[in-house]
Amino acid sequence: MIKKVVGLRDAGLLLFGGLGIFLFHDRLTGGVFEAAVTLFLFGLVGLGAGGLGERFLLWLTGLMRR
Amino acid sequence: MDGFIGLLGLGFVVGVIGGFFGVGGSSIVTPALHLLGFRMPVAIGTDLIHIFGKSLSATLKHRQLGHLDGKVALLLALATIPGVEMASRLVLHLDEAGTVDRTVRWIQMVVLGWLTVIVVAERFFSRLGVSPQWRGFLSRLPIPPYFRSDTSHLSRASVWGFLTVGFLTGFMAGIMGGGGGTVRVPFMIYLLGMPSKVAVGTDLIELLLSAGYGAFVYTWHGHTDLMSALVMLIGGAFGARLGAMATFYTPSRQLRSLLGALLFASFISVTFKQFRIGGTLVPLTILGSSAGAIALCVLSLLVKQLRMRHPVATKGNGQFLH
Repeated sequence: MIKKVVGLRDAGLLLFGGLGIFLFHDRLTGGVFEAAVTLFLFGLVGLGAGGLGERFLLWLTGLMRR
Repeated sequence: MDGFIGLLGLGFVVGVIGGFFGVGGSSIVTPALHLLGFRMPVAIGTDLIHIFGKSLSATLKHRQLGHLDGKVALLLALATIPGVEMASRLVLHLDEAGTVDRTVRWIQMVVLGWLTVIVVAERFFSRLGVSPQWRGFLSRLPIPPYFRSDTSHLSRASVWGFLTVGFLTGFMAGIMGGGGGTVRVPFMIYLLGMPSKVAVGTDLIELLLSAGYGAFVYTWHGHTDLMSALVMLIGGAFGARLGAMATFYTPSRQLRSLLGALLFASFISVTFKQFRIGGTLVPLTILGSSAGAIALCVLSLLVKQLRMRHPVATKGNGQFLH
């Protein structure tokens, strides 16, 4: 059930991106390479959080496929 | 902890609005962050990087729903760049003359007021059963070359109409700051005659490009608070995806009515700022609380439609099932 609601791909994206930013946030600004990595990580977080949000709403409204 | 919840909530509300209308919400987030004590460049950079993440999420959802028109996005993007460039020159010129704030706000007031009147007039005539003939007049310009777009239901549209709108919206984005979605979406709906939902999805591509570039530059120069942006993004991406889903379920006329409400709130907020009514806080509160109320409307519409399991669009709700 938890797997259905959470979704491994979305959770993985959020976790990877979020942890990357959380652990290295003081080193991720101030350079071209750093800026590119930061955008990549923020993209992952956006995709992961968005996917989880959608799944959560579908679960909440009873539309998640059994 | 209060700051954490505040940023998460701010991100969520602006995310719902962004996913639903295809706007970035920088007119709310940047001043709010500035009020919270962020230096202005850091407030802008933090806002841009969170907009990039959430618009990526919303764009993919709109793509899944068939709301993206690549041809139109390309044409608009081509003409947006000279528009932004011209606006930045005008702003610098006005800055030297010392009249930049007042002039920019007058332009904002006129454009936002005009768009509000257009939306209200269209809704009014629609209720009377009259379809306004002027809608989409720029895409019907009799100037070749023409192109066809099935996604936007355009059989013979003039390229020049789209380039004009791209230029105008780029100019407005340069004047108003942010991505310019508040102006671009109504322009696409009313001047180009695009379907409301396709206009929203296509605008998100523009937003993704402009916010991505802006975020890159600001991060490169160290003007971003990544932890605050991360917290806002978690709320924002969640909200943006729900907003994008709501676009699918909401009838276009309702989407345009809510867009009219957002434009009206922006107009009132800018007017208060221009005439210095209530300092900085009152205009921001007006815009923020209106955005909150509209986001609540959007979410209640979404939940209602999902519960009814009766989508108003043609694709059926099966595609949301994982």
